[in-house]
Amino acid sequence: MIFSVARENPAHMVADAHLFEELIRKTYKQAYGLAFRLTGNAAEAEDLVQESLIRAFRFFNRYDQSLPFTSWLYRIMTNAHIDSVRRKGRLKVTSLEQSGSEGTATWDFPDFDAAPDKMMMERSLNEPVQNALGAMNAEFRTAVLLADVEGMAYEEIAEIMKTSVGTVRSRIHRGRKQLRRHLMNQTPSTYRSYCDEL
Amino acid sequence: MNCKNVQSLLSAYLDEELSGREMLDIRQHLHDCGDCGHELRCIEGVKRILGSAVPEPSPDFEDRLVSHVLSASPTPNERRTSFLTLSLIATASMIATLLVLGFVHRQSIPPAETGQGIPYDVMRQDQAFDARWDGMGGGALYISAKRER
Repeated sequence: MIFSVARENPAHMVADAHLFEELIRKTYKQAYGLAFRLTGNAAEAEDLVQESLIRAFRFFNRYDQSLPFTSWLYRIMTNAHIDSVRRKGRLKVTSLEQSGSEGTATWDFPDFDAAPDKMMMERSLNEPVQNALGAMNAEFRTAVLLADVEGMAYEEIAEIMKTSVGTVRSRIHRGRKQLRRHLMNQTPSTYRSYCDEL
Repeated sequence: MNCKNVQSLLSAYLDEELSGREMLDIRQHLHDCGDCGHELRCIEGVKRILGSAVPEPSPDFEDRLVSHVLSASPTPNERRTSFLTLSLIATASMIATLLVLGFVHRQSIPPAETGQGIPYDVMRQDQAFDARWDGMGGGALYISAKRER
């Protein structure tokens, strides 16, 4: 009787696996986008998505299916990312003054409706932005990316990051200011022209 | 609102995360202030760059991911947790069984004088001796509280 506690229902496990596979296929691209911005390179982004989904699958019985799966997954992912940064003791060593890190990203752009020169400016600003993200405090980076890549509301971000809305607001504000300062230092003319186009 | 106040709220303004009153005040300020308007466009630029052009994962990533995730076995940590949980349950059951057996056994031993007994563990060694009971017998031992001197 004691050992029946540890037994799982195989039928439920199969059903969960099917459902989970569907969720993976539906959300992996979006999750990869966030992971790429968080980590700054393809290999680490793939690892982060995989690690987060494995954790999510293991604790799938704790997932409240009335809530969006991505919110739950992002909570796991951002925690995993912040843990990993702390574990490695790295707040990426890339200086904010350096630009053009080696092999950090292979940008493959989809078509934009925007004007070609604007697209080109965005392209040239992407790498400095990614470098600045890498040098940023992990909590600031996560808050900014959840807002700007995922378009989440502050309350949702606060829920994911287990903090207050006021803290989220402050992290996003300070994070964006750091990015803005970095772009002004690195590519002042492109950045100014890009802003003027908006 | 002055420029300093407005600039500290521009991010939240851009995300529409302010009260209606604040939104209106800032909009009014931006209408009149070129510097704050430029600052707003710079922050919006950052937001747009981040929101656009994230690279696609490699083409085989989806299938690799599904296969790795669904075949993931429990971590050693989880296995250890399960083992620890079962061990704790087993230990607790054994202790409970021993307590019940001890209680039953204790009930089966008559006190030296019914209703007047005190437990062995609160009396002195000479009292046990005085009770003329085998102190090494293992059972709970009772003697009279009113002893002859």
